[in-house]
Amino acid sequence: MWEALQISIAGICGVIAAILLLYFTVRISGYLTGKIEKKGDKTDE
Amino acid sequence: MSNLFELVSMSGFLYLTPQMLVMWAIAGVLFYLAIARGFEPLLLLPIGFGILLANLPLTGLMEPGEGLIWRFYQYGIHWEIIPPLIFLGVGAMTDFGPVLANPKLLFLGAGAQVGVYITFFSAYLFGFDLSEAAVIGIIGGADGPTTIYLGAKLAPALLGSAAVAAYSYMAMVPIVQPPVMRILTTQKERRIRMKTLRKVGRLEKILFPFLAATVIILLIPASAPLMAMFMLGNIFRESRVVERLNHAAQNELMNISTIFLGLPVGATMNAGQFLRPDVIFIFVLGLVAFMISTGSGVLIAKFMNLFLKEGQKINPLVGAAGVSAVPMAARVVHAVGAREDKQNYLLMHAMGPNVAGVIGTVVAAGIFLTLLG
Repeated sequence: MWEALQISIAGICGVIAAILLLYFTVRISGYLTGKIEKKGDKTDE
Repeated sequence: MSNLFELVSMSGFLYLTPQMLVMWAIAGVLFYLAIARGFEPLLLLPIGFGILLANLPLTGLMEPGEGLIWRFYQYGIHWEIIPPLIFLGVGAMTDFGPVLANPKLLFLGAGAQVGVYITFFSAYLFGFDLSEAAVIGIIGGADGPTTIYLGAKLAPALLGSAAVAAYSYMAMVPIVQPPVMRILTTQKERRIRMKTLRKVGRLEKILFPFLAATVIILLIPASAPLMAMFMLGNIFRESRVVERLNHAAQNELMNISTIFLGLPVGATMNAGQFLRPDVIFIFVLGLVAFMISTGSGVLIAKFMNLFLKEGQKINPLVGAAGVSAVPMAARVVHAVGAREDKQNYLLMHAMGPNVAGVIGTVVAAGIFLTLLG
């Protein structure tokens, strides 16, 4: 039972870690692409 | 005359057992659900036919090393070819725009995986071993290909029943989810209108599959086969430079893979393997997993609302879409929300956790493979 509990806790932590990592990746890439696209728009003008 | 006797003695009729007839009836139920009710027909129809074939005596179709369907199973599923190909098609069909526009929705995809682990633990307490419990738990993710992928690797004996349970519950999303959603939310919460999603730029959409594949595979390498193909399909879609590949992944490849996924999965369900008391537990625990996953997604959304400003709040119904079941779960969220406020368009908001749920379930399966594989 102890092993199953450990796997459950590790699993939940693993999923949260993966989603957190993805969240920050999306935020950072969103910020950077936003900057690049703004710069592109200015160049077009 | 002796040839005639031999022909009669080799006829399948003489070898039929009552258990086989019960399996025919189960196949008949799947045919009914698929054809008359339109429940997940793409999968339930070939699975049902596979069940029928597996329970016809003397065919040898599932004979190891010789049978035709055994070969489909061995080289398609056991060798991990077909589920990743399905993911390639799913990736090509997926628009990550709603998640990129509102990345907070990713957490709802994670929240819905709580049900997977609670059910895993419960199944273990009911006497299943750790590998079997993992396969039962992953049913809660409501992701058929992932359930099949994990089942083939960890508990092949449970593969058929787990797959049928997963696809049945995916088909029954409109019946199973709304009561859970209503119990856990107030009318005021169900009426929350969410801010219109911003338009996501092309560059952001192109970058996402590259980045997501890299970070997730680095964190959980065992998730690589499914995650890699999922994101490759999405690169085909978003790059807009390989329209032929995008089209093939979404259509021909997806359809062919679906045929060769459903038929052998159904054929693993012979009477000896399926008609056991523990299979009933698989269906019951699978349903519990699915309901807990729905509820945990809703509760995570409510928890997040405690920290969000007015105007930024999430309609908690959206959390229920954190189970995969794309796009059915998102449609159900929209329908339940519209019952309270017809002008409340939740569909695009619900697509965010819905696709995040696919990623979450793949990660959960990868973790099981890492720890138990």
